Amino acid sequence: MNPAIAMDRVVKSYEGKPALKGISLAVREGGCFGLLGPNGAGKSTSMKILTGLLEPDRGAARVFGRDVRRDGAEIRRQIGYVPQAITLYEKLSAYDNLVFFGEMYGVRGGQLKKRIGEVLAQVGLADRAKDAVEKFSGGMKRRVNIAAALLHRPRLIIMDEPTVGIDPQSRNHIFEMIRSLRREGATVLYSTHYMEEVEALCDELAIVDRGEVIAQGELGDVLDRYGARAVYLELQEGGTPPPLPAGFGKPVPKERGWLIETPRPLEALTAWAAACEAGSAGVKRLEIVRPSLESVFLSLTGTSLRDN
Amino acid sequence: MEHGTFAALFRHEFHMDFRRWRNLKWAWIYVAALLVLALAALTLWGGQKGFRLEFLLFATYAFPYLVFGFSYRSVKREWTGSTFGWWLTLPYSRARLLLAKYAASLGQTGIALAAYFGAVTLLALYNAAVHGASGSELRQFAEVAVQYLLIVAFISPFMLSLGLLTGILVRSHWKALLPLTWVAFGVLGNVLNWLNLARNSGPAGDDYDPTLFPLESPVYWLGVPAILALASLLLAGAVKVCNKYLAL
Repeated sequence: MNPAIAMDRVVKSYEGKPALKGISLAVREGGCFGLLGPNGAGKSTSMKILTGLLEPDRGAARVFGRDVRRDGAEIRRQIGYVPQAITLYEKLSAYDNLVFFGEMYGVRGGQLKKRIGEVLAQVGLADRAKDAVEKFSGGMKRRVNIAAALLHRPRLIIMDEPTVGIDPQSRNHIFEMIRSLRREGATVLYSTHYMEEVEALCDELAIVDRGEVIAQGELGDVLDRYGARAVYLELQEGGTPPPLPAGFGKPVPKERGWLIETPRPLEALTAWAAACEAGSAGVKRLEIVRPSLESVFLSLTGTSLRDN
Repeated sequence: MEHGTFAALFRHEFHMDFRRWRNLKWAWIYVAALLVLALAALTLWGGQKGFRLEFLLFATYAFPYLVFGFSYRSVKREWTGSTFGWWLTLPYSRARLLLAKYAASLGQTGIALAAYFGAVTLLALYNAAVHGASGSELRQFAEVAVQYLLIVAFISPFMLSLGLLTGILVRSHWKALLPLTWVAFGVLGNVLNWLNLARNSGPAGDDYDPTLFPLESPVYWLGVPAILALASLLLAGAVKVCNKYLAL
């Protein structure tokens, strides 16, 4: 089966400064694909190329098998795009905004009215339909924006950092909506610099940094392949942990215990358990820790995503 | 669907502009105040020697600038309101998107011209009713009014294209061309004044000739195709910049 999105060595520069240095991506249909990376990594540029806002300098980008350069208008009919900036007419009500958006995608009359009711309910704003958008909070505007992108039942929804600067309630609504879209079979491309969002929503991801994909695949695989494995120890009495044999590195404090990153977590766990027993130190928790995306990013780039 | 969506695009553009004008309450207060002043002036001085009905047409001089503003604003609002992300990802070619804006601005121009010349005609009739203007005076006024109207109508396609191109250049890699388009705006927007100066060197006195070009003048049948060709060229330029050189 053709992937929903295929980017092949896409290059894009802004006034000579490279934004994408040959990005290749494959997003399968029906999945939720996370684009994770710091600001300026190339996430938005990739999305703008897929929606036809920008043209690639080199390389090929295809959506549902069609070339973005050649079949832009046809591709855009099948896409619902939620740009990073709120894209609404502030003076209009949420309902009137949606009427405009729907009509532009060829949804009209009773069908449009029904669909507006559905999407407003989906984003939890059915009771605010007649209010002017300018009176809404940032999160509510974002939800209207997402509703607008869903009116024509797109096969692919592209969301560019939709949760930046919004309240937790709106964030939960957005998460719930994405899950429901996936149940309906839509493909979602979701960019963010929040790792926990990718972990909560996406089954596949690509980590992008400085215009390059530095890791790509299913979430579990990426974590396994690139994540630093670690062992966590928490003692009953607190205090410093017994030393480990040379070669396992130095434990660092974490939460109420100690963490040691190691490529041989099982051996470290066994050695630490033995050391605790020999020193009569009471163990409260001793476990191999699942690698996090934070550690993946750190191991791949040498910097923390949050620092970026 | 294509035809229907162009109509929807046109409606959308037109509706946005209409809504803007409706919300500009202060502008309507000015319009009402100007009408009251014009009525008062006509009542007081309309019958005096030296007064020419054609003076009512002087506001036409601002029309080319106004027309430029219609199309320029229609693009600029997409940048300032950050709605360009939605506008440019609509499932239509950028040529079609710009044509919809052009058509809506043309519609606005038509409405503005009709409203202005309608009001001026009513004022002229009022003046005739109060001060008893002669039939020949009214005929001459009508003839000059038609000349002004036609010249504004003929220059409008060009000014609309120039406005659209300027609006697009604002957000493009070819921003450096903006001073040129603004110079063109300043110089060519003043077309009525240039035409007037060509006929009248001094201030408007008794010998002032308000006519610009007789209707049979070659200016109309030679100038119009040239202006339309230029307008098409600028419009094509706007589409090209929009397609290839936007800085997003």
